[in-house]
Amino acid sequence: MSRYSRHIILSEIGQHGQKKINKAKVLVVGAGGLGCPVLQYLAAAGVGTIGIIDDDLVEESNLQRQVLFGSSSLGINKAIAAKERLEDLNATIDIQAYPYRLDTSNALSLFNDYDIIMDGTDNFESRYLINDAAVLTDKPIVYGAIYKFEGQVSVFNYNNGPTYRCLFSEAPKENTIPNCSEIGVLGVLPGIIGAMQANETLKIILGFDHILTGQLYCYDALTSNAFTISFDKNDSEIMKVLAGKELFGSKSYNLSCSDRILEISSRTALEKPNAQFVDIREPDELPRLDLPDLLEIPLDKLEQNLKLIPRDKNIILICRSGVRSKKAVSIFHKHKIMNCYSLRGGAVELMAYK
Amino acid sequence: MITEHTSCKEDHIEFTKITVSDLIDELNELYPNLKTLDFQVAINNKIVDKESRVTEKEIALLPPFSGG
Repeated sequence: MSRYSRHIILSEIGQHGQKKINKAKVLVVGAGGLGCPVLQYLAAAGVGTIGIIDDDLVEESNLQRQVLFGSSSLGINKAIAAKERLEDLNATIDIQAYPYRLDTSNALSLFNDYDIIMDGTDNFESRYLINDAAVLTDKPIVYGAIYKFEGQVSVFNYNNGPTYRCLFSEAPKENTIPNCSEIGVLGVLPGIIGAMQANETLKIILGFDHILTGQLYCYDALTSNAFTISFDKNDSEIMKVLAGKELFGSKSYNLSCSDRILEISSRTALEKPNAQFVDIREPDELPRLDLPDLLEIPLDKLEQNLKLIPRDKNIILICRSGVRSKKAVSIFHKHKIMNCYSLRGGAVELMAYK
Repeated sequence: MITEHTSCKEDHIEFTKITVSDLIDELNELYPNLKTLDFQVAINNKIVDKESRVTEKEIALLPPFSGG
């Protein structure tokens, strides 16, 4: 076991501790800025079973911070691309890729298969979903979240400790907290915060003391200041989640502020298999596009014409510059058509690319 | 994130009222942009509810982050 010798010679870990790591099962939700460093260190440490769930594709703008991916991963699903990279890093562990979105229909059964849930998501909808599913399945969550130059780390629902809802009971008001794609993020920040999440995960596996439960660690990359705030368990918040167990599968976590619109670049769109392009501009808008099997349905007629949309394809919505197509994605989401993307830069950029 | 709404990292204010919610009202008057933001309040590095008495001098405002 020379691979883990630097762990084993630590008296605090030893053979016994390394065995615990090799037996542990960790589900990483989101293989993005936070997920990448977490995955890298957990796989290197020999965590026996690692699940990766993410429905997103690798885009060029991810490479500034999502260190598991390279140019050859562009356009590939993140869970699958991460699995490929990690298998090279450590072929002795079991890595499961789930190339779809965590939702109320799959969360409970997935969580049941793992010991620890690592939250590396990028929206409030998923964070509350993870919290509630972890409370219902009695799993600890290792939480990390970032904003521009600031990060937060905590451990929720550990040994009956406080949960995410005990800290922030409800998602914030619509559009008050922008995400990374809207406001930007320092590339190294998720590396720092993700590495801390990996550390908390290993501490839990090894049964160490001083787990970050009931505490929110806050870090500011600009000043290098850090402080820890403590918070109490709020039993009524936890009871509310437990009382909703039967309805969990039908609950909607779709907050309007975080209806996540997936954007796709021209390059990724043109390479996407099983794609159905839909031009939602008015008929008199130029230039018209020359794409195979193109559907042309103006935005204001979209809702009446949903039957024209093939449900088994990846729908790529095109407008002039990529703004209206986001609205079109929202309309599709409202009608439960989830496999759709807004073409970034719209027809203008697509023509330039071609 | 708070600093973008207040344009300052810390401030010293004379506070003569009683509860956290009084304090938030006062801060909202000083920094009208804060009204648009959700945050928790910590006194002496501990999150407190809105009815708590403001006794200590050091108060921190903590918004939730969603980014990953």
